[in-house]
Amino acid sequence: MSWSFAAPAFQKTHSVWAVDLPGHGVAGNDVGSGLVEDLSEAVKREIIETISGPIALLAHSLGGAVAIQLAHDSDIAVSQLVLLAPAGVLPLTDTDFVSGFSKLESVDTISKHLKRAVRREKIITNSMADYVRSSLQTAGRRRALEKLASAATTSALIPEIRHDRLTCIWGEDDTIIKPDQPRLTALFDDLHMLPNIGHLPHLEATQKVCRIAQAALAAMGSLD
Amino acid sequence: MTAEITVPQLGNEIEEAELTEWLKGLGETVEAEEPVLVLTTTKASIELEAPASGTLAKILVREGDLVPVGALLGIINLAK
Repeated sequence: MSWSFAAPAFQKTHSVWAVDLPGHGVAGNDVGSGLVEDLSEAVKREIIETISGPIALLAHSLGGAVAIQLAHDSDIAVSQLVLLAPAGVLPLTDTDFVSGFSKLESVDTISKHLKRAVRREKIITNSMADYVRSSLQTAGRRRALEKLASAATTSALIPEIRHDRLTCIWGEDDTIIKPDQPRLTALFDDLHMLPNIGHLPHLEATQKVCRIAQAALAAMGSLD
Repeated sequence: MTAEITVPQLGNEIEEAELTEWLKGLGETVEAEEPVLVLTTTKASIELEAPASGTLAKILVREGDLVPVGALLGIINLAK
C-alpha cells in the first residue's frame, strides 16, 4: 500500500511489481525464522516465478535489508538498488516501534503508533490505520510480526553492501532508524538526506523520492 | 505565464482523492517542489508539490472536495 502513490511515476518506462514481504500486506505469514535471509528467499521465489531479466529494486526499511541480500544473491540479476532508510545498515533506534506492532488493537492506537514514523502526522490517515488493523486480524499475522521484530532487534548490522549502482534516501528526522550521516556517507556515494522527513520518505515526500529514483534509473541507462 | 496544479496518477484503482488541505494560501509565494496541498485517498495521504515557483494565483477546489485524477486544482503565476 505504501508504494501505491510512487508506482505511477515508473510505469511509463518500466514494468512495476510491488512485493509484500512475508508478514506484511497481502502476503502470507510464513516468515521462517524472521531473519532477512529467510525473507529474501521468499521474495526470490516470487521474483523468479514472475520476472525475467535484470531488475531494479526500490525498497524501504526491512525491505531494504532484503534488497541488499538479494543483490548479493547470484541467482538474481539486480541492476540497481534504491534504498529508503534500509534496515540493517544502522542500528534500530526505536525498537519499541518495531516490537509494538503485534500488540496494537484499535485504529486510534495504531494511528498514534504509525505517527511515530513520520514528521508530519497528517500523512497518517484513519484508513491507513484501519488497513493495518485488518491486517493484524488475519490468522497468524501477530505471531509473524513478533518473529520479525525479534529478528530485527537482535540481528547484527550488514557488514558491507556489494553493488555498484546504489542509491540511498534517508529522512533527516527519522526517529525509527536515526541517520548517522558520516556512516551513510561512507557507505553510499549517491546519498540523499531529506530535511523534515521521517522514516517513510516514499509517503512523506513521494514526488521527491520518485525524482531521485528516476534519476538513478536514468543514469543506469536502462529501461528494463 | 502560468503553471497548473493537477491531481497526479495516484496508483492502481485510485480514481479520485479528497483535497484535504491547502498548505499555501491565495496570493502566497511558492517555490518549485514545495508542498502546496494535501490529497487523501482511501489508502493514504500525499503532499503535492508546486510544479514551479511563483504565486498561487487561483484556488479552484475547496478543502474537503473530492476530485478526480487529472483535475485542475489551482494555478501558479510563474516568478519572473
